[in-house]
Amino acid sequence: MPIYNGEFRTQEGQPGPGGLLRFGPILPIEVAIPSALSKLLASQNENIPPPVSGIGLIDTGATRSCVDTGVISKLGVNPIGITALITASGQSQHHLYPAKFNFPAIKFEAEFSSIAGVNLSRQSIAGKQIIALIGRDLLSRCLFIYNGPKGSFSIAL
Amino acid sequence: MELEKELAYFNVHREELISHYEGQFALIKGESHLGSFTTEAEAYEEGLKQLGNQPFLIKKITREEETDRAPALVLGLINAHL
Repeated sequence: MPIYNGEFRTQEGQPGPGGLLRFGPILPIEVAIPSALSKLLASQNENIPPPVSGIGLIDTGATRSCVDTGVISKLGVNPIGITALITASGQSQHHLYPAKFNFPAIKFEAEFSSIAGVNLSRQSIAGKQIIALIGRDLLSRCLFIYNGPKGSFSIAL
Repeated sequence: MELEKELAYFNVHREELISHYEGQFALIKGESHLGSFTTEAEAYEEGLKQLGNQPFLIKKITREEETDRAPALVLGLINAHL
């Protein structure tokens, strides 16, 4: 079972809660087209768009994983549904897309039948854009440990 | 919004679909029901096979409308600017 260990340290190099408190449990992620679409494009001798790299945020508040609409559109993936997404400001309609998340640090892939497209374009950390929220659909298959005082977390996928 | 036409078709024909395919996933393009499948992934593969890479609706055939929640999106909890 692949395990990703995330840790934030203070400027003095000591474990501490600050980074995790500020940024949340984040990890490198790639958003890729679904395998079924890759197969179709390959069979048609069409180019398969390369995955888009960025940051994924583990979001235990999200029932369903989400992807930035700009990223999924850039990959050429078309919507397959519409969902009503409830946020703190009310309910809004969002497209659903099939997609694949790659976690390069632990060489793990997660295929999704449908995730919600949302606008994450203004969400960035140290110049890297958050391109995906890892919701409870994926977390339902994971062990996730959040150590606030030490500023670390582990996720076994 | 893209797929609204397909969603409207599904809502009009929901009871009919439930009577035959409850719990399955309907594949709909325009005002045509192209089939029902056990999983969402199967429906997607069939949609690609029949229609290619274009928008089509895959919808679980149930009476209940599922909603999703993502409160942090608006609360600004994920808004981290350095």
